[in-house]
Amino acid sequence: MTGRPARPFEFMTSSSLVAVTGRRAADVRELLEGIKAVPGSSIYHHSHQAYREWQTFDRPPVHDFGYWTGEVLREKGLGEKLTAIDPTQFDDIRGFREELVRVIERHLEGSPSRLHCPPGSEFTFCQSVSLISDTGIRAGDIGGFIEAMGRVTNRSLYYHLFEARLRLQRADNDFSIWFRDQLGQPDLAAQISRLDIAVHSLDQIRARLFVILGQYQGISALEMVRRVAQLPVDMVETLLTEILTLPVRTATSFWGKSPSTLANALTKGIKRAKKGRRSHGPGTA
Amino acid sequence: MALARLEDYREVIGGAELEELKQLARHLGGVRMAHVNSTSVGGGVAEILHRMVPLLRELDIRARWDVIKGGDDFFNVTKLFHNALHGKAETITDDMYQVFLDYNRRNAQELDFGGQDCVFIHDPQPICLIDKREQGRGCWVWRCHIDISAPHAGLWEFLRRYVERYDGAIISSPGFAQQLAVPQYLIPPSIDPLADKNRELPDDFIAGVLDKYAIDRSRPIVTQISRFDRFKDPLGVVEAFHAVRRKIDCQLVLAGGGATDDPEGLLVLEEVKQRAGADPDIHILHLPPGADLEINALVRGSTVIVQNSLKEGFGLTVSEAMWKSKAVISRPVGGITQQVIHDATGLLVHSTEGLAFAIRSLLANPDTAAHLGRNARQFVRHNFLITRHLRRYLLVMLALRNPTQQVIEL
Repeated sequence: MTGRPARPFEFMTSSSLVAVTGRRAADVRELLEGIKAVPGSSIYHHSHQAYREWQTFDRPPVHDFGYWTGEVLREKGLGEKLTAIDPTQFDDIRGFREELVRVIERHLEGSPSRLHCPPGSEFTFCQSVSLISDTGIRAGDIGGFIEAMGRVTNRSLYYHLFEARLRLQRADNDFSIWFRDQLGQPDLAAQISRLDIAVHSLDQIRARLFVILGQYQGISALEMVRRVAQLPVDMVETLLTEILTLPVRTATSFWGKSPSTLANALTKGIKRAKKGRRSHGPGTA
Repeated sequence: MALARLEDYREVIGGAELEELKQLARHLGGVRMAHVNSTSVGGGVAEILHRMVPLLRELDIRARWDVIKGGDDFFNVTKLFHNALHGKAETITDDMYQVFLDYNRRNAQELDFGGQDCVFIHDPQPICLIDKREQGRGCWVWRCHIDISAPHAGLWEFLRRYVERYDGAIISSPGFAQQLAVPQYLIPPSIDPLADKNRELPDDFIAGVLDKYAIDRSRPIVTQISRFDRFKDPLGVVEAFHAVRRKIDCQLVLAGGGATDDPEGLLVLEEVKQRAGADPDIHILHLPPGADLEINALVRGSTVIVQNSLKEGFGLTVSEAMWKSKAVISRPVGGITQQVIHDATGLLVHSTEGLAFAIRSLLANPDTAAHLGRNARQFVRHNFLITRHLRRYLLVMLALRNPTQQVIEL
């Protein structure tokens, strides 16, 4: 299918307000009791806030249960096992919670160790209130979608890749569903579905989406910079670094230029875009 | 410097983020919002409100800011309350409670909250103003900026009765959570990237400040910015510096204010000077209030920033240094654990020996320090800027319109 889609993609965004539940855990048993007792919104918060908030720290996001157990409580083995439970692989929070419980209970059966965290470092169970709104940004085709990618926040990416799928129990992420069902691009949809969103920051995911989409459109690097100019400079830099650190062969074959030529062009492009934005006032990208 | 306008933040946070903020505010449709605290100058709360209220107005939130009045007797009591909430052993008498209630009552008579859609009461001083709430109208929020993790039991019981009459409370750190019958939202404080303390500075200005204090720009500079207070452990920093100096030629800057009106602070300052001895590479700078540009320059001119606090509320000086892309070494206390992710946005240490080793390792590996600094800036941009703070306040107002829902479609 090559015609215009029946329905444009509507970019939504999700804001998270964090509230504490008042419940704390200082060791593995208390963590287990908490995991069993707290509302699903608390499990969701601790399993997903890392994906929402994580920046490119040279290591993948780790959900709160795995991080606290491994890094704060120093139960390294259990921490690894919990970290390996990937919440993006579950269709609902109940399944993720049950798996956490199963792994911790098995650990406790085999190991009576009761390490306590240092005072003040307790696991504080929180929960999120999600406030979902329409950004008003629409895309009718791949070109429009790429342009929108330069105008939406990470929160919008998060909503469509993580939150909507889980909350609305969709079979895939929103982007892939739209490319497949509305644009008739099953290969593109499959490529986006294959992105391992659990081991990348949202900045990295955005960079990879740009590369995948650019390949379909044959968009030049400078054009790309122009389109992402509404993002903060730091984010643009991260984006470009991500793109440039893809294997050299991939970058060269995609752009038809060597990485160093590309880097120079990109740097000039950023400066020009920023200068243009200043001289033309707000909103000019 | 003139206050920044909302549009000035576009360069810092990006157009996408700014547009989302405006969109969120539109869902509130020009609500009336009142903030009340106890001082218009000095302290972090006033500093934030000075900047936040005009920004709220630019977002078409009809925001106002009231300051309660009180005599010395009231502020002596509230200072003592403040210390007691921080866990200091204090004796609180019935007379003190009476003074507190009398002033709250007088202020309640003078202030009118009629027609306000949302009232944010900051900290304990004006907490009893909840008595002014009109039945069934508006949302009332108690915004607590202080560490109430281990409060004086009797005082907390007294305050809790008021807190639980609000629609919700806001705390700065998960560790400050209490058992309450109302929702407790988690909102960290923030820094303003465009304020004198944080804004970009020309290199020659930074060089000028370092020269003014005879700090050698050609050698590494390790800096702690804080009051001369035992809880900031400046003596530990000097000790760590001595250990580092055995291996690396570097300098130490300890800069802060607040000692002249605080006998304990003066004592600590003297001890630090004594411990530093005649070492020309230890620069102890007692800066006057309002030296924001100089503090900014000192941080920007430093190689590594240390925050060796043994106890801390939130510790915004950490975010201030992180925003300047500095590698920060800190202890995991209070709100610092929200800012420094070990080995990702900075380094966390647990001892003076650990501090010395961490300083050495970062001075010897500037690439690692630069990498931590880059991550740190990015982390602050996402989490601890005033625009994020503003956004979270808007979210609280929207959430309290639908208090029973976990997912709210706007």
